Amino acid sequence: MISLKALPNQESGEVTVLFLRRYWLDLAGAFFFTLAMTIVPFAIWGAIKLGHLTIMSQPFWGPALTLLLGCYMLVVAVITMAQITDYFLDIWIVTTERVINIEQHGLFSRTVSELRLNQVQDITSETSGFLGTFLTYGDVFIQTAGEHERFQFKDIDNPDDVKLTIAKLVADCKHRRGDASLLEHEEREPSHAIPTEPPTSHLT
Amino acid sequence: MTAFHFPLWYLLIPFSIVLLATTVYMFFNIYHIAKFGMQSFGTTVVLLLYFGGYLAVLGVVGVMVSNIDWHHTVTVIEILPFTGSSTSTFGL
Repeated sequence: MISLKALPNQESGEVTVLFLRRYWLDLAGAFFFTLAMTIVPFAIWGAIKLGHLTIMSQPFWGPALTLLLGCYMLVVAVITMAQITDYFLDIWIVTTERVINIEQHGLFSRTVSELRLNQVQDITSETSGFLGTFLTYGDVFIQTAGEHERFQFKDIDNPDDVKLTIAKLVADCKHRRGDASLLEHEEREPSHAIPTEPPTSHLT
Repeated sequence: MTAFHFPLWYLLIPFSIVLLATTVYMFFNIYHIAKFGMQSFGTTVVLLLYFGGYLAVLGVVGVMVSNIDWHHTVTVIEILPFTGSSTSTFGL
């Protein structure tokens, strides 16, 4: 298990500031799915009863449909579990030094990536749709230098507040460690680098 | 001409395969949560929910399956709906 007090490659003095998951509505969707899928066999059962069909008392179809219902219930249970696992393992952690992005894609694929806060060039928050606006959830995009991919915090609560918090942490980190994107730019294009010799004084 | 008979428990073979597959999948979920989840009370609750929920579903399915006489044999003709005898195989 991952502990917030002992993150992988944690530096001394690095403190976790934000621990984010997708908005609870995603999880509610999984439970709604389960509820809807559970109602289906009962609805069919009710239709059989109302239609006075004797299929359940048939020597073959009674047991066969019972087993089919059992399989259906087991499959719905594991699909619900997989959705909860997917929700539960999508995590974004923001510390005083870096952003850690952990994403679970299905059950057999997982991405863990991180970027240092002093590499960040742009932070964008995006809220869209009626529910997103009404319940204040949305996405936050974190952009680093050109060739790096951008991080996306998907469907998180209060994206504007999160953006402001990260922007403040980025400014603090750049103040302490320098702007990594500027340093990278200087390494790539040394001709544009600031001359190392001090300027000659024109004062006499 | 004699009708082809087969015991009902043959139906339990595909059911067992589905049961095994869902159980393995459930354990994969638990493994993922236990290995990659955050160390927190919420993780413990989710793990308990998985075990509890799956055991509850297994229990319901077990009760449903145990009410059937699996030694009963059926003929191919009885497979056709509404043509066979209406003798119930449920041990109720």
